[in-house]
Amino acid sequence: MTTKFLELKWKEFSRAPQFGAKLGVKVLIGFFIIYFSLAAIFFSGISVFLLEDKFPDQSPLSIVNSYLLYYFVFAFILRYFFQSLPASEIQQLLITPITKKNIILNTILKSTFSIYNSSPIFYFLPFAIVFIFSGGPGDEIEFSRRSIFGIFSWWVCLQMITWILNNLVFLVNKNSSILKTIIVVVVSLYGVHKFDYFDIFTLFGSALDKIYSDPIWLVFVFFSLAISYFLLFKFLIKECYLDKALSKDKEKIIGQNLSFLNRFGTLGALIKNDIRLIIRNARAKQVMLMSFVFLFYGVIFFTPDIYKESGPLLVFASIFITGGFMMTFGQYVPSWDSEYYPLLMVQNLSYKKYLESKLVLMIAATFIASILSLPYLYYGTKIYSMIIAGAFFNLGLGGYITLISGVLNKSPLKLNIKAKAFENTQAYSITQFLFVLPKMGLPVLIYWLGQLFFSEGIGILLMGLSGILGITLHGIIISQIESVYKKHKYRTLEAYKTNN
Amino acid sequence: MIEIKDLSKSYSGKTVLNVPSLEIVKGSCFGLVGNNGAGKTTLFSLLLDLVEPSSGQILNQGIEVSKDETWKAKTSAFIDSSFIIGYLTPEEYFEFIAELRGVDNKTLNDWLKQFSSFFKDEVLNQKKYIRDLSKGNQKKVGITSSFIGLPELIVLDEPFSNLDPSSQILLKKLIEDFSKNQNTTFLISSHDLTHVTEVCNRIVLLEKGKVIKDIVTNKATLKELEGYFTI
Repeated sequence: MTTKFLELKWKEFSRAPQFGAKLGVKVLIGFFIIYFSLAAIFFSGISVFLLEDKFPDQSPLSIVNSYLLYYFVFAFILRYFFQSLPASEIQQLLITPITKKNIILNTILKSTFSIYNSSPIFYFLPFAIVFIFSGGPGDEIEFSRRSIFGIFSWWVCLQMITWILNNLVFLVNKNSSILKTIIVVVVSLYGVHKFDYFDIFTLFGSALDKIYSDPIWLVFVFFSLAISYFLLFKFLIKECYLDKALSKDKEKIIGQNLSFLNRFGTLGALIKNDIRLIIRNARAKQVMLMSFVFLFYGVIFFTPDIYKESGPLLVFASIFITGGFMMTFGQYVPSWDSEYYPLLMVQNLSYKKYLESKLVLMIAATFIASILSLPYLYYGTKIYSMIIAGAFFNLGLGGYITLISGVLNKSPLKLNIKAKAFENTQAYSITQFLFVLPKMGLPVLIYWLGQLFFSEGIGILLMGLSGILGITLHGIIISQIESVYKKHKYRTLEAYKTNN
Repeated sequence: MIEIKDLSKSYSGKTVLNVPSLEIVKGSCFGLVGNNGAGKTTLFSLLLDLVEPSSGQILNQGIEVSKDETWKAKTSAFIDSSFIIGYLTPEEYFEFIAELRGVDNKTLNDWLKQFSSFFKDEVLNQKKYIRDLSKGNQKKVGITSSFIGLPELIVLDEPFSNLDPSSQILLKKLIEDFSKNQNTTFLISSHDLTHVTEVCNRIVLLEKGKVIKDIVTNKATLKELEGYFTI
């Protein structure tokens, strides 16, 4: 039976739309996966040396341990938003002659080996290996010699905690009382921590230290894991009905009062739809979250001193700060409307209006982002002027480039289904990748040329002016894009149909 | 109203539709029948410029649909679920379509009243998104939206399927009313021979993309069609 399930899983995987893509895309996606894995492995490994260098009198392991609770809490929150029970998969199997027990067991088994649970392999295993081989003096708690067995149990412990989180996420997703309990526990623990009764983070860290020095304690983690599996199994068996765990959550109607947009006629109606699309669909909400994260991108680049002198890099970061929405939402125009593209195509609606409505959204988001990025003034006016110039570029040119890359993409998008990790590639194509170059490279190039021949200030100014040039040429550019959309109409419709 | 000249559509060498000539007069109710794969939806898609013809042309009130888009102002359609927007409530969706068709909110709300028995208190004021409605109610929303703004031509693909019997009868009445009072032209495809013969005054039977029969509906039509479909 299990092999049959695995076969189904394999077919689902190998026949996924992203694998139907052209070879180039496959290679590219493969490259990205390998790149990110290698990057994670590299940083994980190198961090042993970095920590030993910075804190020579502490064991790198116990430093890492003291922060791991933050990591797990963060991971849990992230997973809560991204992971959900594969209800439709279970639903399909319910009336087949497979026992419920088997279906549930296999669902749990599959989730155990999901990509979400692989982080210990990428993040912690390299660390563990380097830790063992680097040796090093100055270990405080019985770290005088590094124990292979100890570090192995440490790693196993992290993997087991990851699995416990996995099971908790499923329990929590369908059961708000468990969620409430967890929130209360976490908040009160944090309160206790805040008021210095005891430091939960350090406590968690020393518990992990203990696992290393005395692997027998791993038994407790193992029992917790077993209990979590048992609870999840019990819960799913009991709730395995269409109106219980497999039910769709009752949806509350949000975003009804947008009548202030009525005065803008057709444009207003389209924008109203897009706002509702964003707030009412799982996939779109994820994307919004992402574009918010982009706002903080600058912190990485502006804080370290090594980047301070590298203008192009700073420009690169500036573009990201205000361009988050453009990049995350904009790149999927018109895929966002793929579920009902034929409807739009037979309406009395010009492409121009359609495109302008998307542009207005992107402009509004860029505007909001440039206001929200005011705190970057902390890094000085130069940085902030780069951000504003970047915003102008995004407004005046970035938006148009995004619109063109979108129509060439032609991957349908399921609106109300959460994207899984590494399945974000569903609507990804080589053309889109190619369009990242002008979107990111062009402003950097303009700045760089300005800086080379004149000065840094001129470079920033030119970047901003390029955006203003784009705005003044709006009429010409938009009609060009319109003709591209028209040219691709039939192929786009065809592509959207195949996956609906 | 509609004029089809030498129309054909083929996919990788295989012809799925071939209609040398077909004319549909204004105000008529035109029925399209045929088994799966006969080319009904393809014909509608060509008419709505959703797919490109391999050869020939379709004129909608003298306008070639693939060259000029002005026909869209007077034409509307409900083909399948890709003609409704799932994350809107029915009210919001009607409002959106009305905006595109130049109908203001007040007119829309008054106009919607005539559909109250069709909706049976299951569509309006439900505080539900369309995607959470039943298939039948989704269909009602889609069909109703195609009537908004009194288009001169309404294209409906399988409007009777998924509807409960009472709604099917109400829909027939609605189509007849609009056809008579507004002189609306209807293009309807259906697998339900009884309904289609009752509501349409002309029926074309497609088989493998070709017009096999072209009948002005009379008392014997139902028998004739049943005869064809009985294997």
